[in-house]
Amino acid sequence: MRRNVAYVVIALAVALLFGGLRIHFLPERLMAERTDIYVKQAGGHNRFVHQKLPDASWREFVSPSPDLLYSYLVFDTTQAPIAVEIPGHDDYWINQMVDDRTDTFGYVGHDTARGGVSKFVVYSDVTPAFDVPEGFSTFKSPSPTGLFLLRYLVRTPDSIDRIDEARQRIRVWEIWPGAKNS
Amino acid sequence: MTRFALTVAAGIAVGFLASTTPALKLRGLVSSITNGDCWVTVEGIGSKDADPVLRAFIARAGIFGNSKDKAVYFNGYVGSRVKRLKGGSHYQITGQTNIPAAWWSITLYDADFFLFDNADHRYSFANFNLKTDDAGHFVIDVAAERPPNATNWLPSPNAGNITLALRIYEPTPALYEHLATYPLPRIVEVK
Repeated sequence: MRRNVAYVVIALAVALLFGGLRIHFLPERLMAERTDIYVKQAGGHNRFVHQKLPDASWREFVSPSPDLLYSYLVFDTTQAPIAVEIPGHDDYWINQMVDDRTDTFGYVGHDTARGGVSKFVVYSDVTPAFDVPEGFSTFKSPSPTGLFLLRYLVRTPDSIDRIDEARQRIRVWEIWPGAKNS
Repeated sequence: MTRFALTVAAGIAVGFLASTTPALKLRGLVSSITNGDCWVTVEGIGSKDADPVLRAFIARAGIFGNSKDKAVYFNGYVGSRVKRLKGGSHYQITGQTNIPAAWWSITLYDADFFLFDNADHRYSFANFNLKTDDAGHFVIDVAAERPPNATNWLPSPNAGNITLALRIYEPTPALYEHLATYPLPRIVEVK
């Protein structure tokens, strides 16, 4: 009897450990699956991929909003921090910054930029020391790599070209030690 | 030794089953919040404070969801919140456009959670493109065929599961602190 109880306890302990680890690492695993795709699409880290407006042919991810233009960038701050400049825009937009566990660590958007240019730097614990360019805010990512999810509201079909033009003017660059960064 | 190996194998099997999507959905159900008996959301989207099981459910069901001060997300239901709505049924969504937020939208998804292909290329309605009466009141007809006199027709498949997703961006605290009770549009099935 005592031996049977012992086996049940062992089985439950193994179940808890195995199931717990699967659950704990699920967000990271899902994040890695997504970012692998985005890095391939962009041709590397620290580059934006700008998607077309979702329609019935969209298969990038499930449940897209057909009222938003999506862009994403997988960042890597292990060698250097990255600086980003997003041009001013007069309607709703938001750049959500997400770490390797899918947790959001920062936002910029129409409410913070108020129509002006949004300038920020993202770094992590492993990023080499750097000087923050003048006028830039900073965001520290809990992980060396992560994701920017940029969304623009499309009120009418006419606004797509205007938003696309703004997206093409987004600047992203690494701040290398000793380089003149602006 | 064999009995020990079987015990470990059984533990792994149970752990695997307990961490699959259906099991995570149970956790999501426990944390679900309903509004007006026709919208359901989950507390903790975009929050690091959610427990690991809820976080795993949210990562699976709604990865990269914003925190509630940035956006709140509801799925529509009629009757049972665990059952999806049906293509081929006629639903009406009624309400006011003045939900306190930067903007909001209602989007229809097909059985696979993609946008439904239709001749009008109409996949959603938002506060800024709904036709309303003089008092800002709107009616959205969700149906496979355009109903007579429909002012806002959201085409739906003729069969299979569908989802109606209500997204509210930059809601005010009056809304996101009262997800269960803030008055939202109503969904009814038209028989």
